[in-house]
Amino acid sequence: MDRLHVSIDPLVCACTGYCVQVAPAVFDLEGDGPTMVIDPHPPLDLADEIREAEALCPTQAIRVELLGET
Amino acid sequence: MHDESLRHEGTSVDPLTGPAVSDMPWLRSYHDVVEVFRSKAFVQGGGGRRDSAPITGYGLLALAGRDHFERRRIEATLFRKDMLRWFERGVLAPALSAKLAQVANQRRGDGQPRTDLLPFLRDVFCDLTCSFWGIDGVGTWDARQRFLAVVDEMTVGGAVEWERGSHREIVSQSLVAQRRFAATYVRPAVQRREALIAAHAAGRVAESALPKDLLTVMLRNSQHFEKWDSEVYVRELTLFAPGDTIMRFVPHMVAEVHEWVSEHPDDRAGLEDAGFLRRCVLESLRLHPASPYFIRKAIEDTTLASGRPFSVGDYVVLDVTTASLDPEVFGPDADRFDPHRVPRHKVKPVGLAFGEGPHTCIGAAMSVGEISARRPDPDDPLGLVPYTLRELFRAGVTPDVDAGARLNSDNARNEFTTFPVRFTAMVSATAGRS
Repeated sequence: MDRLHVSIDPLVCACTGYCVQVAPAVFDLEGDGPTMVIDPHPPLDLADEIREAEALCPTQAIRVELLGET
Repeated sequence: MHDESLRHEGTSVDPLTGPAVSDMPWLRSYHDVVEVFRSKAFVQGGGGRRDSAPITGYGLLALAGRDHFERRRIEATLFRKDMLRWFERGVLAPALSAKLAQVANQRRGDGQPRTDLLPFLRDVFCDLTCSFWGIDGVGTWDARQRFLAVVDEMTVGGAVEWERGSHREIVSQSLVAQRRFAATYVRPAVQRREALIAAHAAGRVAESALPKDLLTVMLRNSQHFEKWDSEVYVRELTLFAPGDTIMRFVPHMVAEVHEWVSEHPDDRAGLEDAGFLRRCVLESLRLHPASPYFIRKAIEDTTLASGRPFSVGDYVVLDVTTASLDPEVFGPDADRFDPHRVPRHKVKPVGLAFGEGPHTCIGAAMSVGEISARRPDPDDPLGLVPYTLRELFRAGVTPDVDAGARLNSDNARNEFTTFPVRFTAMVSATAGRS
């Protein structure tokens, strides 16, 4: 079964918080940043929210990969 | 780094609202500035964009909270990678290529083409601004000059916070230009797009046939913009003048990169490498941010980690120029250009040139491309600025020291008013045919 892999480049993240607003089950913003990925392998039914988070990130810090069955 | 004696000098103005920036406390340490950028206790909307409000009010930069997030969500469609690819390869590339060819055929004296980089870039980025905004029919040289003259008059008021002259006079003149811009350029563009959007809704026009520009995006999301007055469309356009912003920092990059590769010849070949080009761009932006400082207003009592207290209603200036030179973060030689610089952990090489937090520049990736080096993909856009820099250096751009560059003393943006260059590696179309 395909699965997602989500990561954030900490050197690029600007802590806008947009990803947390559109996909709170995957991203969290606390402390002095950068944003954290709290679920690096979220279920596929969150793919739309995660893709929007990726598109909303002005510094393109979010990386989303669709991994095939291993 | 943030005591009262460090208030900024030289920006005394005639503000339209509230205290002058010279009478506000200035934060200059990297960590203080980052903390305020990210803090929910300070707002930009209603605070940071005060005097430019008649020109850009209710625009993206002036909003806060839910309205701001909704606006970002709508406009983010213009900054997707496919759009960046189109703006870079479909709009900028042909415009830059044509302009370089034009200059190549204007040789004088020693045979090396010369030009002033400012009007050169202004002309090159005209197409990009029109494509991004959704303004049609600015094709001929005369039409471009008339268009750019109106845009220049209008946009100076949109960034009046950084001007040293009378803000009242500048805003007044910009409002006249903005009304002319609306009547001459925006109204016909809106009419054309509304007709296309209606035809699309009726099933007579395909989605792919609709223009992909800011005006179309706003008109297709009119339910969001109708919360404000009908002029909000024009004010939003005024905020987004990509060419106007890029022109401010490319000359600095040309100067710094030229000096660097002259002193480090092993790095000259790196100007063909996307990663090195981008590091040059980020390092130069750190030294010369397009926006030198930002104003924030406290909406609740708060105390920064450094111990500085703020009360509701307090204004504060975030000096991103000085904060991006903070030696604690960027090293003892922080004021020097070094594309190989490695900042402290968790600190972006670009410093605070794109801001931080919710108001991080929406066009950051459009300007500099993929900031992270972990996704090398030859099909990715290079970024408008690295692309421009690469093409200029391929043509052998060299600051024309004898002709003398000049900085603009009318504002605090550290921008050039003239930047003469020569091109040492150009082949004219005429020479190429012989």
